[in-house]
Amino acid sequence: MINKIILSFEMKLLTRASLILSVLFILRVFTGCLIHDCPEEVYPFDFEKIEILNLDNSGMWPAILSGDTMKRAAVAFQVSVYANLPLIGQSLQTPIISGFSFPTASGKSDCPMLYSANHTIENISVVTAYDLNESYHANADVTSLFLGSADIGYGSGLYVPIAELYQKINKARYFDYPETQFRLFYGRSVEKDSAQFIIRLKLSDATILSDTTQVIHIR
Amino acid sequence: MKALFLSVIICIIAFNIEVQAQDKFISNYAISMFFGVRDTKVDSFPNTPNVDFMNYLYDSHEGSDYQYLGFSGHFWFKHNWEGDIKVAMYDDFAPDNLDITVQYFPLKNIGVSFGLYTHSLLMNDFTMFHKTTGEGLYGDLETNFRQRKLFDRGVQCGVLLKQDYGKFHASFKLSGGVSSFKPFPEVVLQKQVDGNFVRRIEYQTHNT
Repeated sequence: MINKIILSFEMKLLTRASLILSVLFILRVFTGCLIHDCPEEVYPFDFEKIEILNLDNSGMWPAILSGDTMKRAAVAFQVSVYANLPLIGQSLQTPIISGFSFPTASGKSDCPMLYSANHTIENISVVTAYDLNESYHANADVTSLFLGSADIGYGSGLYVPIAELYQKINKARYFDYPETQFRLFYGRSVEKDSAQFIIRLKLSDATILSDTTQVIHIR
Repeated sequence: MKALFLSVIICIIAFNIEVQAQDKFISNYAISMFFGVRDTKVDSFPNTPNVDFMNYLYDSHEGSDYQYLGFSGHFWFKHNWEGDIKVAMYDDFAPDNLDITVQYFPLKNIGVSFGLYTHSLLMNDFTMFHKTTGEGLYGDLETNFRQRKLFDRGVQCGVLLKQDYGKFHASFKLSGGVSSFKPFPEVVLQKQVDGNFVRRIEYQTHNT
């Protein structure tokens, strides 16, 4: 009889303990979904370097091209402008907090580093290094022949005139990387068998950043 | 309306609660659960320079196109008036099929009805038109399966016969009416094969 009473008491205790633990577990799941605060410190930087990559835009979406051969009507480049900072690419991590506090269940999560550019890109110009056709000879400004896109993903939108790029590539905050990127698409077919372009960026402090594309072979 | 719809509705009353209401305006009401099927037949329209969305309404070609489960409330009002509210859903569990009708019975078993309804229909893979007709272009840069839910909204009126056997109520309704789809916008983005040319086609349907 006493054994039965003890067994019944233990079962009730076990049931209640399981219930309490279940509630705590569910609470942790919900609190883990909460977004906790990230540091809001912003690091200023200067655009210092420019890098140009070839793009293969013959398919549905632009893709980085390791070679230097492009389709005649699909000449395109990706331009990266960035700062030469030692912190580049690093993210902040929130500390792990143990216990049943609200941010605990979410554990550690990455917070983006915030960057702010000291200057904006005010002008993008493209100059051809080779003769393009009868109208555009070497050293001619061919900026008007290019369209741009600030979408460096699959490129799901229309390309826009370069004048409309500035508001998209000059951001109030840059996340994780002190870098802005855009793509340039030649709007016509290249008539010659090779081409090369010089891309110049003028910043708001009158600094000029410039780089030259590889010599592009057309097929 | 370009389309001809043949809707077959089989209602199986699986569950029925009939309650005597105390309110004088509603003398009685019943709540039911029902199951039905819907089949859609659409004429095939010839291709034009632009896509005809009606060619892409879902048609399973065998059996019924849609099966739905719904709940219905039937109300008996004063002076030989009755009313129905039906809400039904497909297997997506979205209750987006709605029928509201009121009926008047000048005779004991013969009445007239007037109603409003909205039924949802699926339109699938409608950019196939661009994929097959856009020469030298990638017809649709959207690689996800294209599916859109359309809403067919209309008014209907008709005559009905009813017979009550205690808690079992049978009715046969013959209705006609007009309906139209809720207009919708659609965007198709295309790109030249081996080229930088990209174009955006914006559609805005409208009722004719």
